[in-house]
Amino acid sequence: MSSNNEVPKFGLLTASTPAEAVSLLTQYGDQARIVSGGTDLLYTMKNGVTYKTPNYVVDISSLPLNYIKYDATDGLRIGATTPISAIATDPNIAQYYAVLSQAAATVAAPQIRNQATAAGDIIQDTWCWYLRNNYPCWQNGGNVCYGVLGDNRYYQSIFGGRLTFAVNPGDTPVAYFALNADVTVQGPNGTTNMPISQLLPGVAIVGGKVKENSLQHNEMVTEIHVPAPPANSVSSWYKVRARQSFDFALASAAAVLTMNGSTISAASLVLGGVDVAPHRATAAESYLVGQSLTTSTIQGAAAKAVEGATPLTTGTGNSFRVFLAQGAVSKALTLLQS
Amino acid sequence: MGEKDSTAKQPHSEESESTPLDSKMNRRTFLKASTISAGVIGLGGIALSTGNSTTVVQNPTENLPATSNSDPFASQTVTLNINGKSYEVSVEPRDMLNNVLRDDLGLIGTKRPCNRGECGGCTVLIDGVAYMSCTYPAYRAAGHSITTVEGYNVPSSTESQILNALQLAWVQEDGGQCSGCQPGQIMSATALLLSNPNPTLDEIKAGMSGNLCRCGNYDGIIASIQLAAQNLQGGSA
Repeated sequence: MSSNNEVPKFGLLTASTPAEAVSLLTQYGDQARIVSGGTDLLYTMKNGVTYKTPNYVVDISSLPLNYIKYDATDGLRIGATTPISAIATDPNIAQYYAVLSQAAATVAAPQIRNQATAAGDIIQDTWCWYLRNNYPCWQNGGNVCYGVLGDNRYYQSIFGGRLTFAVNPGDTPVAYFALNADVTVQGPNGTTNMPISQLLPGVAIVGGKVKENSLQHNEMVTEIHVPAPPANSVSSWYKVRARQSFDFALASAAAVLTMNGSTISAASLVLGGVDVAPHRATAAESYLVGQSLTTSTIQGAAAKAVEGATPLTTGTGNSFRVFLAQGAVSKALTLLQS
Repeated sequence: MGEKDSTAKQPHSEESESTPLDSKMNRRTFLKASTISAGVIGLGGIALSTGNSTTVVQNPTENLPATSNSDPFASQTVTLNINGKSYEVSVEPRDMLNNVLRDDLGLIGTKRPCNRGECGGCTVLIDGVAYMSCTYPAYRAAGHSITTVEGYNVPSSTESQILNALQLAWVQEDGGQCSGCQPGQIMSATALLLSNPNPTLDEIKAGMSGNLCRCGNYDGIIASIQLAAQNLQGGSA
């Protein structure tokens, strides 16, 4: 399994444009994978995780994709290789997209945030310990989800799954969902633009492989675009972890509310760490519209947000995370109570 | 944390083949010996020269050395500026900065406790920013200014000055217990004080949250950082 605790030998390929990176991926096929920050890929390569140990690595960290641009009309544009720490400390993001700024600030630890990148946080693989320790699960070329019958307390969905039940681990993607972001994807035939919910559709089968993003093997995310925030909108983030820092979410909530005085005129509410993709709480969203934020409506929305949850009852079971998700929603909305 | 053995790692084997040294000697011992001897260049493929290179580049990944995609597995000779000294070293793509520091250059102040980017014990600064060296590809560090826990005595370097103050405060406030995590803690604290010379308790906790201490000596660590910050600001509390 593990090879001396070192990264196995690999060939380094560098590209000077996204198109060139994609053409290298096309040329080397399954033998090659992209590395940007490296905090996801290099870790799993050290653990010898079969499907993630490529012979060639295409390093895109030197591409000119490290930028954050804000414009009042166009909104926010974040380059794929921008470090998470830059998102967490950008003054415009803090002012106009508080939920994203706060979510970025809760990603892992300072050193990881300095290295891990914007696109990487979206398309990283699940941190389910079965996958990361090279169990032959669905996402590792096998045909079983070990979490279902095993220890599913931390990394398995409470909203069901398909083949795999492992949760999407990212924090910033939850904020991007709440902010209705879209992404630019470079493929062999140029770039396409898609809503983030299309990039993270839940369980996807791409090229015969079970994945949790819809990227083809020779595609890469180049930019994330967040529309300009509606006037009078407020947003907040709350993340529940087993320890207060340097941990994945047991449950998180991203809330974006548009206010008309004290009345909510539009609501966007997304749960993280509890489903195979960031989970939009539609029932809670419609419940909130027309209401104002009171203790009672917050409790009501939190209850609606976990309606329809189907926590696993096999293995260890993970129903406790339904309550944590409910609590996360309640906390996030309470932060917006003025 | 196992040392890499010269025989275990094929791509560097040509270095040891050309030397008359005992094959049982590990690379670190060998390199120490070769660095001390006069004819450094050519002995192990590693040259050591002194000089203050203070190139500061905004994005540490901007100047990847040009690699030839025709031979992707080839080792490349890169220049690493570590604690004000310039080192030329041959790295293969899979070498992490931690391996090069500890095993190739003998700079063993930087630890390798978990080797998975989960504990922070291997933290170093690259252009003043904290990274976990066990997960940072060595080739990316080429041309950048690297500071390790050994860099407490670099003339006219703010980082070095902070590092020195922290080390003194660490002794005074018992920042270390078993001290396995200590170099990483001190480097994260250096990055923190570099960007925020007068941090609040919460800012210290947040800045240090990527470093685990198995002894649980967090109070001692926080007290050490507070003392160093105070001393650096001329002793005013």
